[in-house]
Amino acid sequence: MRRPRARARRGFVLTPLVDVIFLLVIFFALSSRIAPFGLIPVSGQGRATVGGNGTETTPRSVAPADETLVVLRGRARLGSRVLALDALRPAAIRMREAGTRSVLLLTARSARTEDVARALDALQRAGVENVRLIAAPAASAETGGGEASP
Amino acid sequence: MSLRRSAASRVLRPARRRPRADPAMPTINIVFLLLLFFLLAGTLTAPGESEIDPARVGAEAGERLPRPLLAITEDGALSLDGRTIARAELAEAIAGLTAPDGGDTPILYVLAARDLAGSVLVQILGEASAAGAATSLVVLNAGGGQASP
Repeated sequence: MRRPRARARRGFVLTPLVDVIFLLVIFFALSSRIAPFGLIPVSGQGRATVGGNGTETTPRSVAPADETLVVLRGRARLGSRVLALDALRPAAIRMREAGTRSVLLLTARSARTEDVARALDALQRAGVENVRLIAAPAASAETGGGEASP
Repeated sequence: MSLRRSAASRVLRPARRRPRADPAMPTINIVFLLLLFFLLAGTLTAPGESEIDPARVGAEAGERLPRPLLAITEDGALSLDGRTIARAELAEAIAGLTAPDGGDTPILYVLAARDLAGSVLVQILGEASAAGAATSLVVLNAGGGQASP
């Protein structure tokens, strides 16, 4: 009896699959951004409430706060003291332990987004519950003294 | 006798050929791993968003770039999810946002250039809040955050 001829097995062609996967890798490598982002919740009518879930409501008028923090370029003025932004967090912790619950954060004209974000982050991490963020009027002079050039 | 025959047949039987693995398989494995890495760790960005250098703070949690994302360049130009909008159109654009599940207020994530004037940032945050959106500032985790007290 004659044995049937073994059918030639067609190999699995991987080249198109590899091509497509390489294209996907190139697409994701070029279009994606791998960076550890963080979020600082900011809410309120032109003011910020930090430390909550981002949904608190604050009154429309700028109510007086326990403390006023002026953010300058790379520095912050807290009362009569001018601090480097790196030193703001320990000062905010002491402030909170002394009973301060609300802070009015005023951005001077020289302040950049980085300075505002660092100040908000320091207050948030210090546990200050209520931070209201306002900007200095455009026509006003530079707020506060003791600002060092960057 | 029978033992000798079986031994002989075993010796004479042609060796079974093992199917050889495709030499491209290790490469494909690595490429698959790369694909998985970029899928899981990467965040798709719209044109222009990747050029913005956000503020660096000692934030702890690592988040992926959220949406809807309002990108503000250093000169104050706005784009919402990659679409350039004028400052006057911000309120209208926010009105078109939908609130996340279980909420009634849309959340607008703001990616601002680190050198943007702080007063401009505060004004834009105020306009977004006035338009009815809760806002959240996207910052870059600089690492090395100070230890908690």
